[in-house]
Amino acid sequence: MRMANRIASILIIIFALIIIYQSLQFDYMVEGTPGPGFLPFWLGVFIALTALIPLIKTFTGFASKLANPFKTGEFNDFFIVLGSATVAAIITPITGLLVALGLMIGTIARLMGNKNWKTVIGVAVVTPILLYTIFVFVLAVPVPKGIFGF
Amino acid sequence: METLQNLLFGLSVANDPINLVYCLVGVIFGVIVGALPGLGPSAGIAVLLPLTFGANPISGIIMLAGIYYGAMYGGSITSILINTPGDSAAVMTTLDGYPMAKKGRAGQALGMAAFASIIGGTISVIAFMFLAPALAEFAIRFGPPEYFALMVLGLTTIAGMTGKYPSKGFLSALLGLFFATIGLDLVQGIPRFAFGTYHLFEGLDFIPVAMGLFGIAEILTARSDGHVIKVDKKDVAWRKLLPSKEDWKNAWAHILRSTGLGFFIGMLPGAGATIASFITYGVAKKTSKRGGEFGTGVIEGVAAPEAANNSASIGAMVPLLTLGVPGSGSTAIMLGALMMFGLRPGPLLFDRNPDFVWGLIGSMYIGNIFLLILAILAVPLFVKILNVSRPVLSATVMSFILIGSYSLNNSMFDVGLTILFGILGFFMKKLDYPAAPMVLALVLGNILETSLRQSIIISDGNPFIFFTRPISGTIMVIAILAVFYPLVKKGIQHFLNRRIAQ
Repeated sequence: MRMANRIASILIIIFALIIIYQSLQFDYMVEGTPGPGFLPFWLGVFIALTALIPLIKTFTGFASKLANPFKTGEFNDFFIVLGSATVAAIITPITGLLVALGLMIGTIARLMGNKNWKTVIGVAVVTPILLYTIFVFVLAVPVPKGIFGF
Repeated sequence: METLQNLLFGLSVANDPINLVYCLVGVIFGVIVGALPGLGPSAGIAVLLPLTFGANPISGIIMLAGIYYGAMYGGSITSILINTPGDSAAVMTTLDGYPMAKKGRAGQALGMAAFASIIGGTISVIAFMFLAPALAEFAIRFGPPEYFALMVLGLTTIAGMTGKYPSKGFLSALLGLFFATIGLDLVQGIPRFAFGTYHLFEGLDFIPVAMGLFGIAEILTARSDGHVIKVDKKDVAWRKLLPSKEDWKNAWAHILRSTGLGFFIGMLPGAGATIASFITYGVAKKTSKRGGEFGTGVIEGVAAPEAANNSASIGAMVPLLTLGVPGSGSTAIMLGALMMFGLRPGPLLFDRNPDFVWGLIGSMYIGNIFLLILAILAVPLFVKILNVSRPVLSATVMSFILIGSYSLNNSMFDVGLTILFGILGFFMKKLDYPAAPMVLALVLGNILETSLRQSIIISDGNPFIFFTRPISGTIMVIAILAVFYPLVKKGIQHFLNRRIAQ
């Protein structure tokens, strides 16, 4: 936890410094009122200062008492779910959104541990039909179509 | 008399068939969302928000409110049956609910949870009905400095009280405020932090952010608990759901007390249903004749937190609708939804949109009746739904999140943004950064900046205007105290510990 907190705090401080630098490109005051650079500038300052608190804590005994939140295997679901979602977003122009989501559902259900192929295929087929009914049929959302025509 | 007339008007609005359908759907989804471990009310409202896109504002908010208070009851189902709270507000219900289930009294525990929730909810709606217009009338005098101070108060209290570490709560709120500055500046019309993409010119929409931070992060961090719900059907048969005379005798006073306390705690920014249930359980334990038996399966231990969490959910609507300042993650999402519908919560809402406000109040009465019917008739059905395996549930919810974020602007950019905030939400959750302050800050950011500018114009550039006006000054002092409250609390605790050690 100590190292994770330290890295997070340093990243936030770097981010805050970028905000401060960027905000200086905008007007700080415009005709006596706060300009576009005013709030971001002060936010950057406060973010950097506040991020120092968890950073300083990592150098005290406090942080070492906390368990490491990133244990082996903790990232499995992270990669399965976000990897499948990213692939679904990439293949949407080819397959259409509903087919991409069906494939994503099947992949997530299978890789996260569902061993029953009937359930996996069933949920991968039925859910897009349900989504079509709600979003396309009822809410008239024009979902991207692919080579299959839906 | 005027209130009664308004209520009758509200009931007529809520009785519109389409509003009844939205209310029923909201309550059903709310119970399911609340019951499913890993999907709390905030995530549930964020994920189901797209269902309201085609609806009129009244129907939409009736459904979202239904999800909110439905989830409060739903959380008790798994607490009682499998010792796993569906959401944090139902944690205290496990302490006596599960032991009751082990004694073969699951039906009575579920029944009492339902009755306590509904009684708590209904009494709170009555309190809401009288209190909210009075508060709105008072708040009508508020100008930009008062609004700015109120928003600062909302942010500091929610940042300081949610999560384990106040500094991380404040960081979350500050980052949320920064995200709110993305897009075209209101004064000069120049894009800020848009990274050259026109998609960000209109700013970051709160829906992809809320869906990512709450919905996806929940999926990614939910543990495979391995629980299989095996409940003896006889234990949850509807006849068994009615608590006995003895149960009522033991519980009624606790239901009433917890309702009052829960409603009050719910109104406080940052406190919410979880804290309400913790406090009222403690109070019930201290005041009950059977205080020593708490934790072994006493009915008061179920009734008190359940009445409190439902009344707190109604109490949380008071600052949301009268001041436009939500006090929790769920109400922050509801505020965003209201703005999406073109409504500006605040004191003028009661004057300008009485159909909306009183329609919502009317729907809460009807929603509580729906909840009672569902709780008695549909518990066996809900138990069946809970048997859905986690991989299937995660996959289905993820697909709903992605198509929901797409349907916001019919844009794949929003899908990418949702995934991005899901990644951020995962790391925030792992590192104990609460998400609620970030979403609240994002929703309030633009109004906060506008109020700041207007206040500075009013005062001819004097930044002390926030402290020199009596109402805004008082609120700002409370907000500053809220910032230092965690430090003061820690100092007092440290001092007391040292005294005890000596």
